[in-house]
Amino acid sequence: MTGFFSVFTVELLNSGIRLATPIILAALGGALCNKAGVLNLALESMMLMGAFVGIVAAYFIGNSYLGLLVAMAAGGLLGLLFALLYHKYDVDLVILAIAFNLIIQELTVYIMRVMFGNVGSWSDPSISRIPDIEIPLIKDIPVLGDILSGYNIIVYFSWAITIVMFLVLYKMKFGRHIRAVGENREAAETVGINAVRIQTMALVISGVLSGLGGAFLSIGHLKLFTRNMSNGRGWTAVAAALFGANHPIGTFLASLFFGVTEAFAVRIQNVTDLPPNLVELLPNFATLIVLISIALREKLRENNARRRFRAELRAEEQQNTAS
Amino acid sequence: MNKRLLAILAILVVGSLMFTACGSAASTTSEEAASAADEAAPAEEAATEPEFTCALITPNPLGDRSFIDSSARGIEQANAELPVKCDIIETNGVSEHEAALRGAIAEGYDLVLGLAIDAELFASLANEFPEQKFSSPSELFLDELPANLVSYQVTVHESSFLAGLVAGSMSDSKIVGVVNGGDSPAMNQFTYGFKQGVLEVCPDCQVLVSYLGFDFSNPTLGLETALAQYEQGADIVYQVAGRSGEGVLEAAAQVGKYAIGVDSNQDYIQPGSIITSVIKRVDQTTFDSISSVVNGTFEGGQFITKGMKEGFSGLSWDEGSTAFEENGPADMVAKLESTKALVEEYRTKILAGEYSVCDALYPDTPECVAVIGE
Repeated sequence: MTGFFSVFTVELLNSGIRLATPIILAALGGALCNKAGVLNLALESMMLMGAFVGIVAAYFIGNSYLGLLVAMAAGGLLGLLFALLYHKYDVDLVILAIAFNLIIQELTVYIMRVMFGNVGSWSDPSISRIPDIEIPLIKDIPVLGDILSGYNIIVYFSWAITIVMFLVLYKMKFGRHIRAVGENREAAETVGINAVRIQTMALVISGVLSGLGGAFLSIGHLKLFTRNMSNGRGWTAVAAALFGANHPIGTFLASLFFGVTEAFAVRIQNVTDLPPNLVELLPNFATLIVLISIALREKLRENNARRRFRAELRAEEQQNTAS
Repeated sequence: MNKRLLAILAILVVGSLMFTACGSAASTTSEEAASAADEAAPAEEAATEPEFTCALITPNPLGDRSFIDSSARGIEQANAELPVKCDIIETNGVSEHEAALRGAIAEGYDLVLGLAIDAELFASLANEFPEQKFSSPSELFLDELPANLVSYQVTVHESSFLAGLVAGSMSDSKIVGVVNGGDSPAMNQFTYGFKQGVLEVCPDCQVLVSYLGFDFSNPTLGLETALAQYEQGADIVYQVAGRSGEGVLEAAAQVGKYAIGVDSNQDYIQPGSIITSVIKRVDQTTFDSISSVVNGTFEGGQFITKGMKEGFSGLSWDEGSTAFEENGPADMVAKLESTKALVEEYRTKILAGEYSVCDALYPDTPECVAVIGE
């Protein structure tokens, strides 16, 4: 047995980043929706749609990069449909999300079987995986180069979009409008912000990003589609957005945490005597801890607010009795 | 407004039900070509009026290119060669098993086959319906079977041992890996047999074992797990993980190293990267279950153990697979001849009873103590 610390390698981070990428993309979309005050629990379905449409498009067009674009468009369309049903017909967001998740899970399998025969997973030798790219200059930096370089374009895009989203949300007027809608829709509307348009846009963008995350699974990482390929990653993304307080950077780090935890659980089995069943629980356990910590943080904040309010009340009373 | 909302919800719900139904609808074929023939079939069958009907309940949807598809081939063979009409009822996992079984029983099939169904559930249903014949084409872990239930046991430790010999003699790095779906005695039959084989020809080899927590449909996880093993120095990885295992095969192709497939012949999935596959002939046990009912030799309450000796498990090479020979790199292909000779040597020894391989179901035997104690 090699030592326990031998798992802490550059490859652990590489693997963690690859596992985190679909979560990062979907979680950023989820965070944006939360910021705009519209709960999107349908990330899972948008991701699955992207995974399926991405590989099918790559097969028919013969170009995997175009497959990515089609996957993004499919996710975006799903987001648009979601927004339409919500705004035009007032369907409850949670029910809508459940319906989406159920339908897409079966619809993708149904279409796969109609198109490609009675199969549970589908692949074709003509499909090529999105190639990994070494970044010039950066790849020559020792250690850091190995961590930051050597992924495909989707991974780099997920980093770029994190920064872009941060800049838009916190440094631009448009971002202030988004946050205003999320914090108080009526107030935002009274000053002339079109809340419906902003929420629709947030849902479409979350669909585009989740679709890309899904395509990462089917043509960026593997070159294969299996039923329910997203396998709960959309839900992990919902948790990551919460954990990251809906802040793009926080959400990115939270998703990365989930990815690295999963990579860690995969690697640790061969260097420890812990029973494998226990080690495999690690990612689930980490999620649980995170959710508890979110709940505690909320509670703490509430308690602080309450304490502050009481103190003010007391001060006021004292003032009253003094006078 | 409210009416419209209701209408939309209704459409969504009905739509999702429709697709669910399609996903698990009974079907008898798995190839596109065959489905065309399907349309013509009912007319013919009505004329001959098959004497027996049976249904196979799959643990997960078809299309794993492995265990479940193998059993489905047994059904196809039975439909083609025997005067029977057999259906395949797909389920989406363990939560649907009981409903599917009860549905099949209510349909009045002569024989209900349950693939990898929970043993307790299967036994309790068999007790509840004593008139119905049941068969399990693969292992059921029970001490005693109800009188109307037959359980086939296909032992894979010996064929996994042969795969271990292959890996041990072809590995350059002296590190090989196993990506296993879950830590259970049935799954460890593969692992321990393989490990014993590796250490038999290569005593200083290291065998990495990673389990996936019974996640059999997560190829992304399989891919990353295999990549981790390749990084740790492994050059041949044996996958025993259903659909998650497809990720392992993909990983081998991505890093230019090697994998060993499982259950069905998987050599063609990544030609040149998959040295061989361990075959578990669930199609044969499925076919045998049906033919025993047709021939009137069906006898419930017994375990029927089949293994390498009966030709129910082995390597893809036995079926004449040459995918690796044709597509593999020259230096690895050059090792094939001596490896195959070694495999045959041990196969003879095992069949003659001169050499015993660890069966994880009996962990107290001396050969198992030696392997597990590693």
